[in-house]
Amino acid sequence: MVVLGVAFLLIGVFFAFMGVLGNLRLPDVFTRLHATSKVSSIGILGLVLASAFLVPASAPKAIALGLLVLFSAPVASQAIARSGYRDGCAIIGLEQNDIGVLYIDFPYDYTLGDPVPWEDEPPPAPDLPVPAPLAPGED
Amino acid sequence: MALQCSHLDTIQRVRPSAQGCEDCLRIGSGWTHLRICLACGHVGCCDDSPHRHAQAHFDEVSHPLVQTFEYGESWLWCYADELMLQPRQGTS
Repeated sequence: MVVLGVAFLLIGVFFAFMGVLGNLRLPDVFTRLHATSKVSSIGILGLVLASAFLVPASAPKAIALGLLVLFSAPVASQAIARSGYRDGCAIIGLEQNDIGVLYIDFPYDYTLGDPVPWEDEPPPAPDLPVPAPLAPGED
Repeated sequence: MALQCSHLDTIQRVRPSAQGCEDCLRIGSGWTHLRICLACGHVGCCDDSPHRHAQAHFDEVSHPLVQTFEYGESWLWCYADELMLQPRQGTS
């Protein structure tokens, strides 16, 4: 039991340390969140499991706490990341934004089979050069 | 990281060139979904279709913006900026 407890303790401390290191080293909000969410999920989970093994009387509470942390930490990180993205936080090294959408005032929705409102209007006149006005006495 | 499209001024009031993929109809092929060019009204087929005529139209004449030509859909795609555009009222 003690060996298992110490093993989980070391795992938790390792992930907590790596999360803090990542928070210091990584360049933007999203990668830092990726690192710190490891602290609040795997790191905490390791520590509560360690407490369950090292202090058996606390096991039910520790396991319940671990489960709650396991489910809530990723949701919290995702919510923070989403608000950061919507707020325009920079994504370092991004080459193509596959989820970016630009919202504009739509001119018109074309639909297969539907006539467009300007169907009967004559086509616009081509851009022809405007002749210069004649000078007096030139005609 | 602000998204922007520098081709919105190319949008014209166009008439669909056909009620189907213009080039597929010419060669007797089928398509998956349709896109309409917002600069000239060329109706082409999407990138999931065998011949990808909408993309081919952009490669040929460099009209960057297409709109979905499908019922119940409402979005634009800019080939030049590789950017999706949607109606502003959909932001909530």
